[in-house]
Amino acid sequence: MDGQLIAVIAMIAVAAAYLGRATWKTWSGTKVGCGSGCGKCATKSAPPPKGRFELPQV
Amino acid sequence: MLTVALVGNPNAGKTTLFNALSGLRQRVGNYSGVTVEMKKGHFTANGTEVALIDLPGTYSLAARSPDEMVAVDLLLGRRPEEPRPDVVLSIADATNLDRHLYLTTQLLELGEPVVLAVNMIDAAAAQGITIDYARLSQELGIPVVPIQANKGLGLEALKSAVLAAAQAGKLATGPAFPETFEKEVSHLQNAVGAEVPGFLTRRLLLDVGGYTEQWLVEKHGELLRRDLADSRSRLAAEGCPVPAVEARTRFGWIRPIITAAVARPAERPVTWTDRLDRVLTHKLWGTLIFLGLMFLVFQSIFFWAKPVMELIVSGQEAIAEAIKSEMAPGPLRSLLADGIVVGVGSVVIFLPQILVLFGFIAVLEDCGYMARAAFLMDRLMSKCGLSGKSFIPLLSSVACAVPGIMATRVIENRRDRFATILVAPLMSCSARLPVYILMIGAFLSEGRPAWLPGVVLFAMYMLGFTLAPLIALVLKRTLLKGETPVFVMELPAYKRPTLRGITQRMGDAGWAFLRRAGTVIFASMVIIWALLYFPSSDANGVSYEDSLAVAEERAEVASLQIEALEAHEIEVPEELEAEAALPAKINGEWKRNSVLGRVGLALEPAFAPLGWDWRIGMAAIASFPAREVIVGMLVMVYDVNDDDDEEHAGLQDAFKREWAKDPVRGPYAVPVALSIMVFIALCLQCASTLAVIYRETHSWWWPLFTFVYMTVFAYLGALLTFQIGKFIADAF
Repeated sequence: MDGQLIAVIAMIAVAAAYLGRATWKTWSGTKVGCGSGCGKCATKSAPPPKGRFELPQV
Repeated sequence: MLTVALVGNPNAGKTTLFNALSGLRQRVGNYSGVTVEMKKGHFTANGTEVALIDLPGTYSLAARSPDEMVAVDLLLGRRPEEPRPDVVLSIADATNLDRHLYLTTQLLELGEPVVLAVNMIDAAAAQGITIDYARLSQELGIPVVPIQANKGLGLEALKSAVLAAAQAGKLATGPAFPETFEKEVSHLQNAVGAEVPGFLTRRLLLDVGGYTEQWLVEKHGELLRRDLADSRSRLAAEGCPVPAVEARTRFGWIRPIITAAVARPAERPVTWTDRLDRVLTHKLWGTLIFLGLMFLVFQSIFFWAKPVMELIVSGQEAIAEAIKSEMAPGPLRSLLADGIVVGVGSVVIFLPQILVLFGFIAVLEDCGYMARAAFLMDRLMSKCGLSGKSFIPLLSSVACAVPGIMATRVIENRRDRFATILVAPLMSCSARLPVYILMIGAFLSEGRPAWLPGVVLFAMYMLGFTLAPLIALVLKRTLLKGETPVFVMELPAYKRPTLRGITQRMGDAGWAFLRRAGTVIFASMVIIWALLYFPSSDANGVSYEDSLAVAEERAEVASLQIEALEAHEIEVPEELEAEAALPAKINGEWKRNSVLGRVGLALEPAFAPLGWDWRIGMAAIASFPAREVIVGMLVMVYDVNDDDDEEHAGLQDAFKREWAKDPVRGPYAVPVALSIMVFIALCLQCASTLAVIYRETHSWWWPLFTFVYMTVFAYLGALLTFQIGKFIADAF
């Protein structure tokens, strides 16, 4: 296998892993993010901190 | 360290004051509801470190919506992650002091020192209003500091007043409620227990159907509901009905104070804001000006960005060429040159359009025009069961649906908020802009009237603006039945937008666009390139890359021979023409034989009614996670940089060239281009938007519903557009 092919396979693996991580973080992450979808943080809101009263939404 | 909470009515200038004190650059807008979550900054005053918290704007501490509850939560020290503020800094508009003091009187009941900052003193002076601040301070029982936050005037005095208030810890009393009311509060306090703050017990009694009532009734059950109803009945019988007793008591206390401390001219002078509003909020002229402005924005996006766009294209081509000339043929060279540089570059070239769009949005928001647009749209929105309050989130969605959906938190009613959330993704966001520009540039620009590109771009944006209220109407009559809400909105005075504010907004949008191109789009392009590259050899095991290299050499020779023959007006033999076209033939076969090509060809019958081939269809499917991917993928499948003729470089020309050879896309290029644009305009191709709908609705059902209805609409819309366009093209 030539060097170019090895480099390409490595880049594809990294890209696939990055997209997988970004998708996971968007839907399941715990850190609050702006939701721009860049994959650096989650879109989902953080769970309410302990001791805080949870109020129902209208 | 001291903690100071900044509280005020919407559009009182809280975020401007926050930025001026903390030196931060939180976004400000000349309309209400810009801050929907609290923000934190720091400043130092006389050596003391102060943490400043900017809360969402609210007219009252009677929390009815989630954003208003954030303010109440924090002020009462019920957010464990934030300490209870040492001082509450109330900000009020000097031109509307009596109304803004209503909130201040509620803040006085929190049991914390309060400092009042009277903002926009220049606007008050322009209206002939004079305020005796010493008298005002004496009457209210709290320190009062005049400021002009946008110019940074009075900030030092304000800092000193905050420090002094924290040190003194003096509490003001505020208005006294009738004795009968206080008796009922004590009765309810016994029912809910001492752990509920007294302030919330008062809100329980005063806010009919509010947050506090729902929470406490759920916690204490039916007994409390009956107690509450009995208390309210007794108050009504004694001439103190809720909620009227609150307004009566507070305004009854505020009015004499205003009379003593504020002097107004006998006749209110007519300001420029009044003059402009007579035209800009006029039913007919206002609507015409709104439409005209929008057209101007879209026409400018198309033409102003063109020179910069061409610069980026030439830079992108130079990089691709450099890679090709420096590296040996192989998969890595192809990935870098044809996948990453061409794919990501083709998205980045639309950066100038994004900057122009956000520049316009910043100007229109900051000058105060957006509030007028919301007022104008209220008529239309109310006919569809929504109000002008829904217009601001919809307008925010023109930039990006994610903040637009988050901005719906200012809508109190759950059904109205959900209806707005579900239609917000129909607004054409900035990610759709590259597709529009690409299609319009290729098929609706050259050789056509100069106004056409702007009109088509405007029409694409209007598609969302027209459909969104109609779908909201259907939702409000079916799944989300409910009364049409009443819309109350303050029309702020017109202000000159600042260059800093505009460039900050453009910079933020441009950076977000580039960051996305450098992360998700980059990774997507690598995967798409791989799906188009492999398998890289034909059925006989011969590498396509090797066959292509040989064919390109032979084609070069054939092209020279053809040129010589044509110069002597000698007929070119068919074999020679076939030789020259061989690289394109091998490339086409390679792409059709790739993983993506095979799947695309299998799905082609589904795309055919829309006028699309497998390449467009697969680009549309590949862009479901992020719609910008469609442009990058089309560049790859249409081999933009494979044409040596410089005049035909670029994706727009590649489209023209390829479609011209096609029996469907050749004669019907415009209907196909419009069909692609309509699909992109109506389809929800954005994982982040779906995730934020889930977050805001706390349900999987609503994102799924939005995705399904928008995908069905997109397919049917694209189908109708192509078929009607084809019919018209055939008829004429």
